[in-house]
Amino acid sequence: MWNRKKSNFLLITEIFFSFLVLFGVMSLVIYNYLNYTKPLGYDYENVWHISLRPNSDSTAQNRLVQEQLLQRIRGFQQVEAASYSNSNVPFAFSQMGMSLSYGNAKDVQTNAFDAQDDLKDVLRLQVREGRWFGPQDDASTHKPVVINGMLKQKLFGEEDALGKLIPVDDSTHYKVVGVMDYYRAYSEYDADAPAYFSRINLQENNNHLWGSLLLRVKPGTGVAFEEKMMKELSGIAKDWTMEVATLETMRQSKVRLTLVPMIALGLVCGFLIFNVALGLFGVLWYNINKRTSEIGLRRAMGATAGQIYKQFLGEILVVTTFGLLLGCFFAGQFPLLGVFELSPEVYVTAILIAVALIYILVISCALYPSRQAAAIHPATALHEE
Amino acid sequence: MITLKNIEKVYQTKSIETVALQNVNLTVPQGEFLSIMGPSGCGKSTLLNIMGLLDVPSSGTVEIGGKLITSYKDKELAHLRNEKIGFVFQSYHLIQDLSVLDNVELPLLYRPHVSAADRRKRAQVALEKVGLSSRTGHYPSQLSGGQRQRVAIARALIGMPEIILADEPTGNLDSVMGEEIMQILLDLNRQEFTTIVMVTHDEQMAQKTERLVRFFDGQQVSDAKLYDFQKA
Amino acid sequence: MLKNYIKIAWKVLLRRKFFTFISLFGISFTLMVLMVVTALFDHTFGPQMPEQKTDELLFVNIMREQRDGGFMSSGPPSYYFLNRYVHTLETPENVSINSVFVTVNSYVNNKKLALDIKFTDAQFWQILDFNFLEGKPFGKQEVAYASRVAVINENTRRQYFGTGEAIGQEIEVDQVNYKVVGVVEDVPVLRLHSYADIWVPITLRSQEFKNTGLRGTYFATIKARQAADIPGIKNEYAHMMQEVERQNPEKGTALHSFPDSILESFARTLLGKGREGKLGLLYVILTGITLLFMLLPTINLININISRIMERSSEIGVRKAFGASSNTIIGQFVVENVFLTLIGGLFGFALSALVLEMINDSRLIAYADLSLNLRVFAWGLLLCLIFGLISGVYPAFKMSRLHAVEALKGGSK
Repeated sequence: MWNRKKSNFLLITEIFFSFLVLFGVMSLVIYNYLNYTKPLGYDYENVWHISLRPNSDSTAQNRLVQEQLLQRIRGFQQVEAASYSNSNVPFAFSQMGMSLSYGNAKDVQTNAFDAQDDLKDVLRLQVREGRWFGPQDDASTHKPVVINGMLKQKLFGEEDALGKLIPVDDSTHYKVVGVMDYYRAYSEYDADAPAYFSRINLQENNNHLWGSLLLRVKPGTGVAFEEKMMKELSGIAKDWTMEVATLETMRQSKVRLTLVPMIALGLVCGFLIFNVALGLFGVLWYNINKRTSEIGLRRAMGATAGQIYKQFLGEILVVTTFGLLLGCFFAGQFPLLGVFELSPEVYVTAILIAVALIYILVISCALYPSRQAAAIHPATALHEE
Repeated sequence: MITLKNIEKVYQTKSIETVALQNVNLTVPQGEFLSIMGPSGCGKSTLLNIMGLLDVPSSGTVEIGGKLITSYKDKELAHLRNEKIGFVFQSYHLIQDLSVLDNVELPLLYRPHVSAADRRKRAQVALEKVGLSSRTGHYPSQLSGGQRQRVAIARALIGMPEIILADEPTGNLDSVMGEEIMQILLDLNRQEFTTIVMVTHDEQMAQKTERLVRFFDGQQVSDAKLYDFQKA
Repeated sequence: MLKNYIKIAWKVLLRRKFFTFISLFGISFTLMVLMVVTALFDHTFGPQMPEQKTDELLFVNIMREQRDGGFMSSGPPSYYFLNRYVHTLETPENVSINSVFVTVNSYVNNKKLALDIKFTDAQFWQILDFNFLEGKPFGKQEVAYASRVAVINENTRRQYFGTGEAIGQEIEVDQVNYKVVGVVEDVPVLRLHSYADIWVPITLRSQEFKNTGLRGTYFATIKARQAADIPGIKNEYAHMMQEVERQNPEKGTALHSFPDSILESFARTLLGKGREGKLGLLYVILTGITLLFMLLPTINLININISRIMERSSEIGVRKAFGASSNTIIGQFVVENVFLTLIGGLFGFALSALVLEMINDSRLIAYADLSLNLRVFAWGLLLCLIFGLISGVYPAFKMSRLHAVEALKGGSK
């Protein structure tokens, strides 16, 4: 087989590129899948989001409206709990970040969220250690924060996080009062990133207007209530632009944002691979037809059908292995160089799956032609020559 | 018509050097029907390929129609083959995917300024000459061996070449069909004065030609004038 | 000659049905993917209702402020900036200022409708080519008096009024009533500068006009008299920006804002960090991705073609013996391959039409009306030819090098 270098070269190239394509797509799929299997850390069902855009210049006026709105919303019997928040609510498109340092842990990029005490009930957050915000925080000297497990690990490692002070600037410190397992706000397919909540105190933050309001409604509450609520609210906040959406619909649009490109990519990849499989099948078939006389000779010299079968499968497996070795060398650079900062676990799994898939593909393409080769009768093969 | 001087052909592979032709000097005058005989592997097919400009000798010179063929480029060689030479092969080498008529037309495709209608007409005439005018629409696979070889001859003569090179044209045929093919070649030689060089294994066929040259181990061992058709 | 090549190509295709199927499958699917992407690209960046004369249109959508110390913020410009500086440019034929669309809720028959509303001036309707199905746009007068009138799209009309009368009716959007004056064909959401469900006079938001900052929530659409004026407009705009930067009370702030075509603006945001125009780079990247995508099918096709042509070594030998030069042989196989690719292309077109129809129906992209228009067709044809040439030339070249003598023996090498 060594003197068929050129045609083997093309086969190797083809396997090499197929492997790279599979590896890339697999990395993406595995990355998203691993993220998807992690808990979100909150319950989004029956939670509504109202985005608020004040249209008046008077801050005092707006602040008043803001408080009245919250009071009115809490007054509805269909509403179980409500809390103001920044616009980076779950499944929103806006994000906010902060860079935190503690001891040796420098500049940990962290998602920053703001919450009122009621947010715990709105999103049904679970605090693992310590506690959630409460009225006792009104008097605290340091700003209280609740952090997620990832931030705890990044900042404090195995140490106890409760009561620790995180420096923010020269005069301010965050005091950790609680730790929760997970909080992955932006999408079900997002990685588990560091995050913390800081407390909204409407009395204290004098000049700030909050862009979002989250509320939990009783199950089964529908559009009729939504319309009634919005009518009343726009009576309070004249000229404000308000928009309601359920977290469920926001989640769906986020899911689509991840899934649609992934499915499109998967389809394109599937097509490419299928295409390669057909081509491989054709080429192998042709090669074996061309080598009938060689097969006949081998058979005449005593090779069994099984040996012929194995020889052809073996030859194509050697070629495949060359292509894969080359591919693994390139793919191996990703975890080694830490490209895209995905965990090596993702890359290694992707490599293994891609290798397995290519072998399965090649073997299934070679099976039929090899069987055909094995079935050749020595007499007919030699006669043809 | 064809003059070979000091032709030598050596096949070089990595380890072995095989001498196929050695010190061959041969002149084929215009209008002659020459046959070449010899055992398998004596170099006669190589010689035919060199005459047909399909292969180049390792050393020595080839002259066709008084022109020295040495540093010709691929394109010029192709042009010369098209204009001057027609080939007939033992295994016919008809193109399976083309009809009889299209197969015969093939050489004219590579000749500029021949219209499609003209090609068609000439192919029909050529097929008539070999007695196959009724089979124009058939495909090679629908014909018998003798018929296929007649198509091949029609293809060789459609371009009105001065030389026809035939490599064992009757080798795959039974004696009756071989006889027919031989007759067509003889007629061609006598009526149109086409120079024909034929490689053959068949002593009987060779005896019907004007001159017989024998080869052994890449060298010419005998050269005999049998008839002179032009005078007869 | 050509006819003969195609005749034999056709015969070979019919004889080797399996190989033909593999080739056609590869070609048609590759082209289908390319065509769908081209259609999406064209849909986003090419001329499309209502932005028909794209070569005469420029859009302003970003104002980027960069202070000393690296602090940077960017977003749509303010009404103040656009009205004071962009409206007064002299080279353009016309300038429209319109708001970024915002989503607002409306409730109809116990059903919630999320509508995208856009505040525009009268010039907006002059510059852009909307397809009015009923009524007409609002004019200068309605804008001047801040009348509560609205142009709605077909979809909103259906949701609100069904088959009944729409023109002259009231429509309640975000607790405000508007009188419908016109209905237009749906505008695809990818046309960010023109898209909305409902368009109302910009003066209804006059409280925002007072904001004298440079950043706000407005776009400008600039129409040139002719395509040749575009560089002039960009020049004048750049001069104007220098002046604005000089007059800016916050010293040391670098301001960046550009009038761009849709594609330029995309390239600038994505690759140029909002400052430099990176259209060239974008083209290079797109070409690179396309070539990369075509690589695998091409290698595959080359493999298949080599097998397919190898089979015909006897034919090559005969053709050479009867006077075909190597170049003629290359020519023949390239023609055959281009012919095959064009057949594959035909299938590809049918497939793309099908897939585009599916994308339209799936409502993945709001109001998308993807279609294989003449421009996309031309691109597809070009891609076909390139594909055919790339995948045909190498095997043809390889086979043409085959020695006639070997070819006649069976061409095992």
